[in-house]
Amino acid sequence: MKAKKTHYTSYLILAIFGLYMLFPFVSTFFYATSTKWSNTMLPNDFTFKWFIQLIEDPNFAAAVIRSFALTFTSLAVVLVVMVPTVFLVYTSFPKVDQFMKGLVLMPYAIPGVILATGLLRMYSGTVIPMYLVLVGALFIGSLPFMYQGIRNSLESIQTKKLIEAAEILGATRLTSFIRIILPNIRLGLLITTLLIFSGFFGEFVLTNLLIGGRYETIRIYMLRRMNENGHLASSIMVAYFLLLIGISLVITYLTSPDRRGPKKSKRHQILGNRISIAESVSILKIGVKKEKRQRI
Amino acid sequence: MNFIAIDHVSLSYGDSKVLKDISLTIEKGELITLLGPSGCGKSTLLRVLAGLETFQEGEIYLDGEEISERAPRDRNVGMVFQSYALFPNMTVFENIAFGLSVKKLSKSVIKEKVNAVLQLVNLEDKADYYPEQLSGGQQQRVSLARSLVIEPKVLLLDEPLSALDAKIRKQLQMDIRALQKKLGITMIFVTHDQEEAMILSDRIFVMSEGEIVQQASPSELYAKPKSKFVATFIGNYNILSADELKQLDSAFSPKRINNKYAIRSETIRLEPIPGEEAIRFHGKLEHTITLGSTIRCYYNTGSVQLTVDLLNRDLEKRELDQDAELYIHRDHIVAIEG
Ligand SMILES: Nc1ncnc2c1ncn2[C@@H]1O[C@H](COP(=O)(O)OP(=O)(O)OP(=O)(O)O)[C@@H](O)[C@H]1O
Ligand SMILES: [Mg+2]
Repeated sequence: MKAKKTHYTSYLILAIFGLYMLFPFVSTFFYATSTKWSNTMLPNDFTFKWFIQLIEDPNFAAAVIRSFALTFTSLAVVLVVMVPTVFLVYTSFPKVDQFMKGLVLMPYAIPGVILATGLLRMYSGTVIPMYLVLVGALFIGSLPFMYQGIRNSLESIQTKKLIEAAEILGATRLTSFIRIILPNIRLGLLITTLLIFSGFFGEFVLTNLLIGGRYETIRIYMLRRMNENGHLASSIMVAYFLLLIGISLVITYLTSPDRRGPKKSKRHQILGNRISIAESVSILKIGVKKEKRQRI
Repeated sequence: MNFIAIDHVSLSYGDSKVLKDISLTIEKGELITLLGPSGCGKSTLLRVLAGLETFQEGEIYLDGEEISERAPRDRNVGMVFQSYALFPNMTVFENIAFGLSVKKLSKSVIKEKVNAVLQLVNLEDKADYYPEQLSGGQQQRVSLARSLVIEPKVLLLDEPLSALDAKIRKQLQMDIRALQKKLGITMIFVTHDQEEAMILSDRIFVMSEGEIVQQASPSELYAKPKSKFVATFIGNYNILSADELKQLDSAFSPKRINNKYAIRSETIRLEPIPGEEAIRFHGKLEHTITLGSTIRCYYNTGSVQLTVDLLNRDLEKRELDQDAELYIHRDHIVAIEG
């Protein structure tokens, strides 16, 4: 009996916590689906017109495309540069590795606004387009994540041992990287990439200050419409939030314990064991922090 | 010309000397073990041979060629690691085929060779499994097959059986030795387990603190350890000073002052030994430990405590606190260094 009671209590606590977390989202949702909701307890009506208006607005579609474009360019640059670099540093330059571990934390030390102002001073009026400066800044911003993420993946698959084994078998460093290391860190990379994706997609401070209205991303669009119409802005918020939830669910799925254990498809096996839940949660936490920081 | 020659090799990490002027030679088709306690440099020496570690002084020759400067992939050696180091994204077949595929052999040749070694290590039915789906012993057999298939000039094994349980370990020891004889391949086997070294090797190189302190066949090493270190490491010896020995054998006269003497515990007997060279002394049984087929008895002679291993029979002769007559043949008293 007693054990059951504690059970109820913990469920209760969980439920209250869940409500607390969900409340802003639910109320945003209702605000987004109402025409008027000011001095009543519940909204006056229920409508999807804001969503429809949003979808029909060509500026919205353009903003989404711009956000994706910016995100994918930055991600591509980050991955292409960082994965081989971290691999080389990790396998061949242990001293540089020590140094890098500290260095990559630097972006945390510089608030976004200051970074943006500094970049503006440095690059405005030069031939370098601000778009590139932004991609560069996002690259730097993602370093703490990327470096540690890739490094953890490499460590968890015993990269050094595997490379040694491969080289003795006659493989070059490049062959071992492509045929052994990449396939084995694929999941870790995917998760890190998804996290950075949501970071980039929701990036506001740098984008706004560096390019602002000239390149309206989803977050800047959101801000503009917020001043015009709160209901519409809420519907954007809801859509944006659903996207983030989608990404989180994918990550949760990829790291779920059910996916481990023997006798699974080839893909599953590779994923199994490689990343602990704790690890992914800790990555997620940093992700959340970053989100907050950018909103402020 | 020796098949493998390590010539005055030294290696340090910063200030700590890990390999100190090591020289040794190995013949083709030999299985030798590097035996020594943890941290004595066995793995380092093996990695030097594989080209995974750069060293400061000396040269290495393999099959008449100097290979000291060559990259691991150009040395034509194979290596089996304690942690297996199988590629998790590849099946057993793909793991074994890897070394052949990077040499760009044709698909049909690869298939033929891989299937042949799979048969050799008894894993034909596991070709499509992933490493994760295999037991430790099976994984190590895959690792062995993966190294054998490229037909290396020498196969290096770094404590390959240490992570396995006793029964599988015994089985694989036999398998490895049988394979080695069948294929006539040269092997260097690292272990810290003296029994494993005895079972497997043609010759044993005992290492201590970065040096090779003795090299000998298993039986020779067991019968004639050169130093106190070797004696205590490889077997259960009684180590006596010259004075202590004189207490047991009044006719004994030391040749050198600082020598010590090793007496294997199973050479001391309770029955008289015929002949001139037998000595006799008294001891009191203090306690016993049953090891199985033998019983370890601790006798106090008044001046020294001796360990004596007796076959587990003759119960009446082993009563505690009884004075007993003990015998030993002088040939079994081995002079060793300090
Ligand atoms: N990369 C390194 N940097 C500094 N010292 C090292 C390094 N690798 C090994 N050593 C030192 O070299 C010595 C020999 O190491 P090695 O791994 O060869 O020992 P070992 O005989 O194989 O021991 P074990 O039986 O525990 O595997 C150890 O004292 C170790 O601390
Ligand atoms: Mg070792």
